[in-house]
Amino acid sequence: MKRQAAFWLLAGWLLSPAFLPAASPPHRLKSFRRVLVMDQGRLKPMDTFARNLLRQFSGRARPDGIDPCEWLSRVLFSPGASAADAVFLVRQPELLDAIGVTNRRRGRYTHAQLHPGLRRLHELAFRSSSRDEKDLDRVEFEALRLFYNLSAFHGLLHSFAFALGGEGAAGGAGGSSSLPAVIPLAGDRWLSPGRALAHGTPLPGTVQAEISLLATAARAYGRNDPAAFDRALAGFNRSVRGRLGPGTPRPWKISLEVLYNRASPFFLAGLAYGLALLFLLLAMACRSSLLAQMAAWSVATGFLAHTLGIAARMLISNRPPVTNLYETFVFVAWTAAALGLVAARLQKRGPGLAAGALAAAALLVVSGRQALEGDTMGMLTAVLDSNLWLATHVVTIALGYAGCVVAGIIGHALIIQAVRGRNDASSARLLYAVLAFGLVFTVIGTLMGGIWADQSWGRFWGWDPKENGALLIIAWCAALFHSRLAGWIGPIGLAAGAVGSLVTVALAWFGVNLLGLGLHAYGFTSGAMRGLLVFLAVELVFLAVAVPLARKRIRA
Amino acid sequence: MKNTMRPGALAGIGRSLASLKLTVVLLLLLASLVLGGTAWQAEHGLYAAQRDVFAAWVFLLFGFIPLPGLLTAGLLLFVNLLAAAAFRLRYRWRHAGLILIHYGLLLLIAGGFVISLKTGEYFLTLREGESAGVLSHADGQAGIRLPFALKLVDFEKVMHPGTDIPKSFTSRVEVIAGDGRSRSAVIAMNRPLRTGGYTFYQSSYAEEKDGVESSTFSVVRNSGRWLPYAASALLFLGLAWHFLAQIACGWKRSPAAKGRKP
Repeated sequence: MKRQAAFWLLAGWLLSPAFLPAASPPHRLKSFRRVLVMDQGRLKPMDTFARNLLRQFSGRARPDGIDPCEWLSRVLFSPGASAADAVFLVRQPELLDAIGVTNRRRGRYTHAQLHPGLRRLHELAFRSSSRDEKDLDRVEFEALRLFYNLSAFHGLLHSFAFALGGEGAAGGAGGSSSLPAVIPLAGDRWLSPGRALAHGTPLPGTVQAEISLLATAARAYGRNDPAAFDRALAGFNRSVRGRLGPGTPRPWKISLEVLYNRASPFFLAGLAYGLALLFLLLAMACRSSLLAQMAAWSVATGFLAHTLGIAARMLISNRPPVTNLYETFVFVAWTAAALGLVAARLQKRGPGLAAGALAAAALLVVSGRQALEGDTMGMLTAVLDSNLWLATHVVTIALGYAGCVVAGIIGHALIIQAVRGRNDASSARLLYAVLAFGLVFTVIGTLMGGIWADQSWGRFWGWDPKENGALLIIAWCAALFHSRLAGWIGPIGLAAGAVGSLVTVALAWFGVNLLGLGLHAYGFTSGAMRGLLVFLAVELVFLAVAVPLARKRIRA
Repeated sequence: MKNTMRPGALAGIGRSLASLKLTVVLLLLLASLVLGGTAWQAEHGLYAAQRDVFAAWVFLLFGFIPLPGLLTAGLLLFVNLLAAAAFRLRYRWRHAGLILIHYGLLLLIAGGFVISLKTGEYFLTLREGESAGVLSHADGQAGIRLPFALKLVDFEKVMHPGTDIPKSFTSRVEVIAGDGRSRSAVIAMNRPLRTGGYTFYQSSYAEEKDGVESSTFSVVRNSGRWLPYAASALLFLGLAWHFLAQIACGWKRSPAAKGRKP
């Protein structure tokens, strides 16, 4: 009873932020969030568009707690007011010197603060844009990024100039902003209202009616009339919906995507995993079994949110769970949490749950950083357009990675326990089992990859870096199991080897992406190389120091 | 022929070839070759990596220290596995999964050798409207003549709307047989054309100055193409069997306990 009560309390607390109304929004954005936008090849709700844009500008999901849709509606419909929103991240302070912006501040900049430097930024960006991206230094690269962001922002500021007149129209180029593309025209072309008006050929009556609905909404926003604003946009959505063909996402999918955005299930899951780690630490300190139970329930709650999040993404995008680098983090984290929960059932008080929760939490943090790169449900390049193989090969490989990652963390725990003079045979068996899980699924996934490659490119194996990465993991893990069988290494050796397998996974996962070559190089992450090298160095030092110590303690 | 060796001595050699420690050494060799070869590839490109490491018997470190190349490592692993199959594997139902896995690996390595020694990989580039019957090697030299001709009717690339992310590449072609009869076919990503023992894969495309597009196919003449499939099937079966058997036998009595004590 007590346990169940603890669970429900915890679950209620974790899930509550998702269903609490936001603190009294000044405008009713219900219909605004659901406006369809064509962006980067995908039809998405305005809510997602706003989130991606704000993330791209600010490097955060919600800088200073700004709601993305509230912010975007202000930019579109009340351009003057949005000049005071501090949303622009400048990663290189030297850039501000270069463009002559003097009032330095912590955090993000407003458009008004950056305004004096715009001309010199334009010059710098123009010079940088003609050169190869690889030759740019950090400041030049940042200049380009900031310039693109400010240009997009300008476009948005002027996109309703046709309706608002005054401040917006002053830009002159008001009609030419291509954002946001919300008006569908013949031939699957989507235009911004301004572009549609400047289109040349006379527009059909329905399109004209839709544009005037948008103008009505824009004016209602200015009058601070939330009901009229929402009514006009609801009418707009109905009208656009009525003209769209069968290929467009169903309305419930758009609503689901808005719900998914607002509930942020992976953030909640990460929070629950972090909380579980805290409980486990406390449980270790107080030797309390209730706290250990609460940790398990916390992981279970996080896992529930995590599962719902992945399911929602699959429904929204009509795709298997793993199709891009971002989703590999999310899915491997999910598997790690699952492995942790299974391990906790097999062996109470073992390191399995902590290892699973730690892996899951860490990977979700990494996924959050990866999400800054853009739409996490972006379109796939032609090579990847095969749901069958994405569903089988990629998912199995991810399962294998997860096994090796969790085994690697259990390996750390075993070595540390050994240093503290404890010989834990049961945990050593757990490590063996989890590592075997990792090896089995990596092998299966690699073979499936070979079959996919043979079907699509005519060769089973081509020494592509990603293939090599998988082979590296397999050879390493197989060597470990055979050495254990031969008696060359004992439990400590296997634990150290599992740490090594964590390193091989990191190399296979990120290393080949960072090499930037091969058929699999679509997920390049800038600046992650240093992180990878630091990780390798830390693990090497850990092994070099802890393993001899552990050996000595165990022998003694 | 007179056999001068006693059977016991033969078995002795076989047992030492089957040694687990040899397996470990070879697997570590494989891992370091894969790691080194990938780094080599990042530096010098795939062609050099193939030539110097992945399709080489001997690899010269710094140009003068000879190390076994990947082919040598593969051959040694094959011998090690063969000896293990003969002398080390215990043929019990309990180990059926492991046995299948090891036989699958034998077949996989054998298949790798057959394919790398016997399969030809060629290229064919056609402009729209052009037809040809001669394949070229990867280095551009003319290779072999096909028993039919291929004509590129149209190449089409589709982008996701408003982006430069390719959605699909599609080549509409005609296969023209020796007697002049032709049939049309489509080659697209993940959708190769198989005909007359050759397989055509969409590899790349170019748009030339005059606006005419050209499409490049990689062409494979298959020998032993079924080998990796058979090997994979054995491995899947073995892995599944072993995995399920371990679960069925129960976690409590499981793996490490079975490992031989040093």
